[in-house]
Amino acid sequence: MNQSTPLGRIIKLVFLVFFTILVLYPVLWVFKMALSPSQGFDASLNPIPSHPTLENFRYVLFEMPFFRWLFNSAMVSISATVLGVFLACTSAYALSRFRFPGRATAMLSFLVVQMFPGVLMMIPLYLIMDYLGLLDQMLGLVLVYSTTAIPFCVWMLKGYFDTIPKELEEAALMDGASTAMVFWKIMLPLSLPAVAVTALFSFMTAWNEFILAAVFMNSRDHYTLPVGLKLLVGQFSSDWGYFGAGAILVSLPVVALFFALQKNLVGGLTAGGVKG
Amino acid sequence: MNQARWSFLGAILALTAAFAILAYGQGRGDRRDEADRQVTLLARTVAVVTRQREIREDEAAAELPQSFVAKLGDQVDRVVVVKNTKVLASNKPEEAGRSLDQESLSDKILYDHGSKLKSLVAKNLEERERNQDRPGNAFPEVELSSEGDRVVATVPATQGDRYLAAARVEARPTPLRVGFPYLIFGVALLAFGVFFAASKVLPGGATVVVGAVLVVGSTAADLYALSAWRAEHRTQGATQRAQSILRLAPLVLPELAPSEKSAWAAAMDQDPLGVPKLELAAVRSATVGAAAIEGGIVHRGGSYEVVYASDYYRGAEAKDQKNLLKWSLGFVAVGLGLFLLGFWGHLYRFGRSFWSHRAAYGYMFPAMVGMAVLVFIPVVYGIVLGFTERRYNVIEFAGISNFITILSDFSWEDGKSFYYKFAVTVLWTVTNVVLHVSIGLFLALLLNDTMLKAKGLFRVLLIVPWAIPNYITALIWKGMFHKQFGAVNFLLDALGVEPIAWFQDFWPAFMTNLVTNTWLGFPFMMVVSLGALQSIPGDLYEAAFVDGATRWQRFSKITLPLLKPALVPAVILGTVWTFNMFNVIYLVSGGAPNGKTDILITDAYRWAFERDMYGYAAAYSTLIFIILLVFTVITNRITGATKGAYE
Repeated sequence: MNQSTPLGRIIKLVFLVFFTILVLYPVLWVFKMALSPSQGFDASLNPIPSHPTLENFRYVLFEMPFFRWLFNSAMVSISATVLGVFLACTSAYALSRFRFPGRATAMLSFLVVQMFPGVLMMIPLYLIMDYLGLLDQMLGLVLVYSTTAIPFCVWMLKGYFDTIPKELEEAALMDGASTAMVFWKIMLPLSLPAVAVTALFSFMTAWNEFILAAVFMNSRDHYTLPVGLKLLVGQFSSDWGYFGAGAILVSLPVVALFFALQKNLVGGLTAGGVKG
Repeated sequence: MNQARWSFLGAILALTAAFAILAYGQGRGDRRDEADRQVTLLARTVAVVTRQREIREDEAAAELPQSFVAKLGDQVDRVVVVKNTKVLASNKPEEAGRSLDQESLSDKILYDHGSKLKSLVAKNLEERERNQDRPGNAFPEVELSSEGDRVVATVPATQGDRYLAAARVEARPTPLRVGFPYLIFGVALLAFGVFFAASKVLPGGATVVVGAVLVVGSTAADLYALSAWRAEHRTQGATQRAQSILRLAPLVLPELAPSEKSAWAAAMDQDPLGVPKLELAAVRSATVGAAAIEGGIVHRGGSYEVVYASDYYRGAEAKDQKNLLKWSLGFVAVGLGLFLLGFWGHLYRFGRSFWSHRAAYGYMFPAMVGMAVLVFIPVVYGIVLGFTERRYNVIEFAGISNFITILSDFSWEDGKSFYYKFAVTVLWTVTNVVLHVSIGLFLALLLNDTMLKAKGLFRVLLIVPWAIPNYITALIWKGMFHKQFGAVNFLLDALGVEPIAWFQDFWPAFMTNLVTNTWLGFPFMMVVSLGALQSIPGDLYEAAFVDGATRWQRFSKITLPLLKPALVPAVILGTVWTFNMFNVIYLVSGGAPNGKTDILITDAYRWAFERDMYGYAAAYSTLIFIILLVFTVITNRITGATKGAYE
């Protein structure tokens, strides 16, 4: 099945091209909105703008506190990713390599909390953040994003750690390495693809998260990009040009990161949590 | 007997802590309630007098607040009556008669409260006309807030059913002295001591019985302590209120017409929510119930008397005890559970084995602390919230009434019942997952061809939707489905089909959500399938080919079975994600038309943040959680999807 006849390949190509067009059309449409001078919709199917201009980008970049928001988003997302992935790695390592009472319960609880409707955690989370004095602070968002990402990350990483043969560690221990050294020098480097994918997911979740950020951050200077972007759509509900430009600018970093790491995606996902 | 003792210690401490937390909450609630009630009484009095003066078009209306303040001393900071944008009366002479300033924040708040009360009065009137058989089911006509020890109450003055003005009082009410029922700790200590003494002398079985009896006994004693403590609050509060009323009576009553007199007295008998408490039998010389009540509790001041029905104390006490009993039964069950769990050595062994597995716990610890504070506690809190009900600013225990209300609504036509939303959610989830998996798998099969040129490029382009933030995707598609300017309708137009108003009927609106989420969701399944396909050794196909297997046989006998281990967990995960997919539904169709395309999660959100019913929404979420849990457990049993993970 991995081989095919020339005719078969042509049929496959036709299908693939068809689906690719379906996938790319809405994206092109956003580019058209972003590059068109009018703020409404251009009444045609043609995805190429008739009078391209960068005015919308200029507005979003320089008339709004875009760089401030970019900085906030980057700080929050990177910190949350580093912290969350680190915590998930240590937990996943314990779950994969040690047998201890409460292990099954911990894994089950990681799985189960994933199912609690996230939107409704907002009220309790808000009260806790208020209690801890972390409202309207980036640290608050970092903590929330990193902890809420942990369950998924732990499951992914634990699955990947399980595929790494134990003999490697045992050999290292025989040679006099400590468990901490085994973890840092053997486990982490070997599971780099899975760690990369996990980090990608954490980063994407934090970068794209909108509702919690909107509720927790009160001052305009503390907004993250999604909140700022939504402000744009909310404030001038018909300004689709600005929205398009903003959407492209917000998506760009995460799409780039995604493509940079997509080679790992297949390996990281299938060998990791989503494994039999 | 070590285990029994430690578990007993744990159970008693847990129970005591739970009671202490309960007492703390009750104390705070009682104090706030009483403050609210006192200031509301003042505001209602102002409202009644305003009404009276407004009818007579009395210029002297402005004087009333000043005489109030003079009479009440330093308790009252500010009294103000506002009609639309005009200050009718105020205790500050310079304020009376002026217009509200649009620029000033405090004036803006005054105006906002006034117009909110106005709309509430109108809404309640409408509500009353609609369900005359169910009176009292109305929105509370009061705006309450507090800063430190200062309480602000704003109530409407109404003429018949018409809104006249808003009466606002800012005051520092006499605080309710709330101690703490320290008996709770005494009881715990005593029970603890008795058990330790007994466990040395008694044989094993008897120790368990003694322990169980003490758990129940100490709970009963705690219950008694709390109940007596609350009765004290009530007496204290009622006395303070009587004193306020007695101070107000000579000031207000001579001014009022007879019908207004009893209206005022009736207003004194209502809680801040406007519900009559029927605790106040009479304010003599302005009688509510003309007949004097024998055995009532009388407070005297000048030529006036405030009489409380003695039933009030007894009835309220019985209600308190009933409420506390409910809580205590829960506590006893938990306490006994902890005790028995510990007795059979689980806790003890856990404690001992903790040390021997310290490395593992060390690795787990940082993540678990974060998870505990920011994930587990919110989840538990969310579930507990489902058993409460919020009335203006007080959260009350409501038992399982939220769940009963949700589950007993079987209406189908208006699309508002839980069962309807559940059916839509199931339809939504099934169609989505089927489409995601079939499209994803189909594309993966196409891409899994070593001879195919540019397959890397296709793969990259086809996962674009996964990379784009999903709220952006949702907003883009909402634009694409716009009736006049959306690309979808242009396409239909080009094909000679009439444009469709996508958000006016159920099926088109559902389709918009489905299309969006399919676009969004298939790349994940494609990547998972692709990964699994690549791990299938090519020799298998060659062998099958040599044995004369057809293309379909190779697919169904080799590919599918070998894909299963990777696909099943992905499908379960995908199902859970789709079931709770908030952004797409909320942003694309927004529930249009009329909430019919809302799924459970968006409806829960609306209950919480659009209708302000947190308890109800939390109960809703708990039900969603249970449904997903049952689904996962069952599919796990059948497929054994996560079996390997536990080994």
